[in-house]
Amino acid sequence: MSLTDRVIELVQNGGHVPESIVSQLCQKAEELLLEESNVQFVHTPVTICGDIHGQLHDLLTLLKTGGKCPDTNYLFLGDFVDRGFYSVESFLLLLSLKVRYPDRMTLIRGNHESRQITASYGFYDECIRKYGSANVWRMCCNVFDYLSLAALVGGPGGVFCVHGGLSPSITKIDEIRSIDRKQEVPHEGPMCDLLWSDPDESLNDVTSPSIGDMELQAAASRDSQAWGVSPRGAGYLFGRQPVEEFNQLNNTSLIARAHQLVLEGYRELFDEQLVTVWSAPNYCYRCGNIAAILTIEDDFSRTYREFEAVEPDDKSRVVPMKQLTPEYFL
Amino acid sequence: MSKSFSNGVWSVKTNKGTIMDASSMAAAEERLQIPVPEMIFGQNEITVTHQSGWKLTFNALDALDLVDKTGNKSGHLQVAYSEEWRKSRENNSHGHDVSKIHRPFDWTYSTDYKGTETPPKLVENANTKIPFEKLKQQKPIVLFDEVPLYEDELGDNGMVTFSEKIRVMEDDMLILVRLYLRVDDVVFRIRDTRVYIDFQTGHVIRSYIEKEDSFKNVRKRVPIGSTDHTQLLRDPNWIDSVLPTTKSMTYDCKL
Repeated sequence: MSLTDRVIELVQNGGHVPESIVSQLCQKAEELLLEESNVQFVHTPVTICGDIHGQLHDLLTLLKTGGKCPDTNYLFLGDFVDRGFYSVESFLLLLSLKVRYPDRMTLIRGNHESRQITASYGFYDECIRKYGSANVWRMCCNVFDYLSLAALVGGPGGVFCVHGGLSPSITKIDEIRSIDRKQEVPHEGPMCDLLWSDPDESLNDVTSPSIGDMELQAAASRDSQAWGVSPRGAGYLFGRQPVEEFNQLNNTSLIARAHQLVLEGYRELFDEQLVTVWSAPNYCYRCGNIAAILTIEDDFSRTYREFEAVEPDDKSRVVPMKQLTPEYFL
Repeated sequence: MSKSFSNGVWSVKTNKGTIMDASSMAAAEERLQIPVPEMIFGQNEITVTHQSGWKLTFNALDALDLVDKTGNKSGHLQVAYSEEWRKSRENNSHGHDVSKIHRPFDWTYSTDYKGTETPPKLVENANTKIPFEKLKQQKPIVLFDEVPLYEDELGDNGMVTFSEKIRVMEDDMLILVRLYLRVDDVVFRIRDTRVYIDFQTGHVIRSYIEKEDSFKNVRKRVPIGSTDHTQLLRDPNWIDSVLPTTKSMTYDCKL
């Protein structure tokens, strides 16, 4: 049995993937990813998937819903790890499919595919718990550095895919190609923007409700308010205008991104020129949200398929909704 | 999912549902005039009602309504690497003006919400105190629930959670509503509202405590030789035990 088939089988059956196998798999994946460009070209039809966040059992449902790889061509928009309890297995499964069927599985980087973020949001702790050392975490983080930053689905009129969103430093897709991506996600600059930024409907929208002179101010500074800095003091928000300009200049019809939780699994904005796809149902095992995947057909028509979280049962290792045991809190 | 309890004089109800859908979120933003947290449990609440008609309830939207909507009062807190980020952007944006903060507000969603009370009866009383000794006696719990109200991941710069817990015994009950905030490398903050009701005497006591310290100071409290120092910094109970109290108030009334 090949290395990848072995990992796929182990993960699907709830087995432990030995460190030596992780090491071999990561090495193969790096060799493969090294050859990919910053913006991967992907043929239609393709099924686009949003955040997974270590929810392995829901990832298995996703692969059932969308169809088996390689029968279905997949594009995952990053955030494979953190939050959920099976980040290791989720990432190894996707990586095995990538190595096994490189032309039918595209993985791009999310903001959680980073050393700093995974150290705080679960993946690091999980690796220590499951392997007793940080080796597996380190190996996976090295693979993260090789992941592409974006994907372009189809030719003219196609879909630009990225984890977070647009960057004010990038007007043409070609400008992404000159980024040196093989590094930890930086705190600033275009690479950071692509993985972190968010659309905001209240930007650059003269019809949004505002009061008195606020409205005049908004109208007067229409252009400058196409972009905003998050009140947190870092990270961009972009409005309708940058989305329209980007699609026009790059001859794309849609920007598909993930990064933000939506109850309905997907949400289209700006007259369907941008969509957020979210693929982790019942996120963090408590949000009760639906998940969705998006298939782009040859004519660029869109089909959304929704799926719900796996019901916990005794036999599987699925983490049930937090069991409520009365406690004598003070 | 809901739970309820009644003893004829007092009744308690908890309600739990999913996060809000797009249209409820739009309506909430319209009402609150700030971007709402990414996880907002709009149907969730705990309500306590007295037979006289007095009612105390805790819900997400009323709590969010007390968040600083301009950021002016809360001092425009920024993430740790904000300065570095802004500097790098100055000459790097194809001529757009992209440096303006969009809709500043207290993005940490820190609220000093102490519940929604109708009609208002609780008045400040520095001489009252929740009887913790009595609460330490482990009398059988007839109703227990944990109800999240809102959470936000602060764009992966930490976390804020606002949630409530309730335990009802035969003679009395306790509610704890906690705001827990961690902004990585910046600050820790806890705001606790407790409501204690003695069913025998009809005495309602509410306490409100604010605790806060810089990330740097908290890090210094991690015991030397601690095996996993980052783990302690992610444990709200440990954080609670080391944060200094910055504000404390008590209220009561008799029903």
